[in-house]
Amino acid sequence: MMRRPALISFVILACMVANSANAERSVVLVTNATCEIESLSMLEVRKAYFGLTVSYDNSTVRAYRLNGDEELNQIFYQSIVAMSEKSYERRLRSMLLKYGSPRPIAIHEVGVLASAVRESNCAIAYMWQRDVDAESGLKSIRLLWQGD
Amino acid sequence: MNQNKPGIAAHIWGLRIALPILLIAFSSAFADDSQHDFLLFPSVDTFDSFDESNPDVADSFVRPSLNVLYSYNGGRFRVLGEYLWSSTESELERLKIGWQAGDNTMWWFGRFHSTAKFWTSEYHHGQFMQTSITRPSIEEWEDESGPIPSHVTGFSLEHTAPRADETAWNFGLSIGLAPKFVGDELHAYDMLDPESDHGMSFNGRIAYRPNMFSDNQVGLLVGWNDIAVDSDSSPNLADLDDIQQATVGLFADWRWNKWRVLANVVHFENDLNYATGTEHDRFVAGYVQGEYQFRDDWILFSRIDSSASEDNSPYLRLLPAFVSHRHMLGVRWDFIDKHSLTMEVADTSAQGEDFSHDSFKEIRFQWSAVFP
Repeated sequence: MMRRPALISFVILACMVANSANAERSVVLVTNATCEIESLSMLEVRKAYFGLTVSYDNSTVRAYRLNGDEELNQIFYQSIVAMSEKSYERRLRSMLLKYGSPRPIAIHEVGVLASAVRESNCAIAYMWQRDVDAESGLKSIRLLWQGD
Repeated sequence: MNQNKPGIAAHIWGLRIALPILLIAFSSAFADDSQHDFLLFPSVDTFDSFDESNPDVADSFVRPSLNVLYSYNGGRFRVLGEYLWSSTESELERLKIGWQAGDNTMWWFGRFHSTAKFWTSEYHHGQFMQTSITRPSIEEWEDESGPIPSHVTGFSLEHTAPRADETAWNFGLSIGLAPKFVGDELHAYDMLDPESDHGMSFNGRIAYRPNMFSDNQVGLLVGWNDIAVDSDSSPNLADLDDIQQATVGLFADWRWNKWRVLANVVHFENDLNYATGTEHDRFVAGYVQGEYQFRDDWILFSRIDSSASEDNSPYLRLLPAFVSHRHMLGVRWDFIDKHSLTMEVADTSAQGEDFSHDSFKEIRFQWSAVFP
């Protein structure tokens, strides 16, 4: 039989491992570490990803997408824009045709995406938390999705 | 659109308008986070008529076309241009420069599509974006016997009032130069011929969206146009000085699962001002289009274009090719992601030269696509 202190230590350790795994399985919204944006509402995030204007300190918040990760793409369509890929692409084309609204800039590789966000003035992007941890010059401003 | 070609002096005047717009666009190109975007809409239409009541209306054609849309965003400035090439025309359809007065408000200056036309301001010349091949008759362009001005040159304002529950109200207002009546159709104001004689156009639109990120909407349209007339261009226009047109319309675009309904009904009040007096004209025209997505990439659709009190309309007598009635059935197949094939059959009545309509049946096929 396991003694009580050892059992408590085991439970704490298990929770820490689980939390760490969950953190790695979470998707966060990031921006340039020097940007003064502390948080964006979900409505503002969705507006930015539909080409609607969201501004901060007199500059427009540009949205970037990472399209080289299929699982991340599915999370984006289901949890952030809440529509199918076909409907979302159609909606973006419609906004561009009607209003000239800029479409989110799609980038294939995480490293290139991180560089683009670092070099932009308060641009936003969604990334796995583990990728944010591995990159410098970025900060998380919102949890978008949490894995089981 | 077939218009008289402007002279060199008129082109120089036109450049005075276009150059500042282009200069602002290029000087802003170096602003932080500037962005350029393109869309290409190629299509090929085929048309054949049969069973005509009047042999003169028999027609058939194959018409390839390419519509190019360009957008620039830099800082608070935005530029939008749309150019259409086809086997029958080559025209700058829209060119406007915008300034963002806030997250939800945009001012525009330039040539744009009328705020008071629902279908026109949703699909513009992006053929792939509309389900059907044909446009409803009241939404037709000026050179296709459209009864309402489509192109306006001036200022417009767009404002969205979003709410936390993601519902929104959209408002649009515009003031500018209206088209002119020449021959048997309207001719839009030509930015390359700014000294031509054109009246004013005022347009407004209010729409409610139950979800600001979806296409569902219902709304109200209002328009007032002072349409100048070139009375020497046709015997039918002799002694006609101008036409003052007021329109009020209701529209809806709604989806329920696999079903969709688009509808627009417009009430027209026209005053035709002759040298000898004014002739008043009043009629109603509209359409209802139903769509059913019976498989992932297949849509069955049907539309009824209809009018009331149009038979004796002195205004529509000036537009003999205006389609006053059309019963249409069609099917569309979307394939390889961004391509579609569409077929339509219809029983159609055009206004005609006198009080009797010219009826005929028509069949159309179309390939359309969008890139990227």
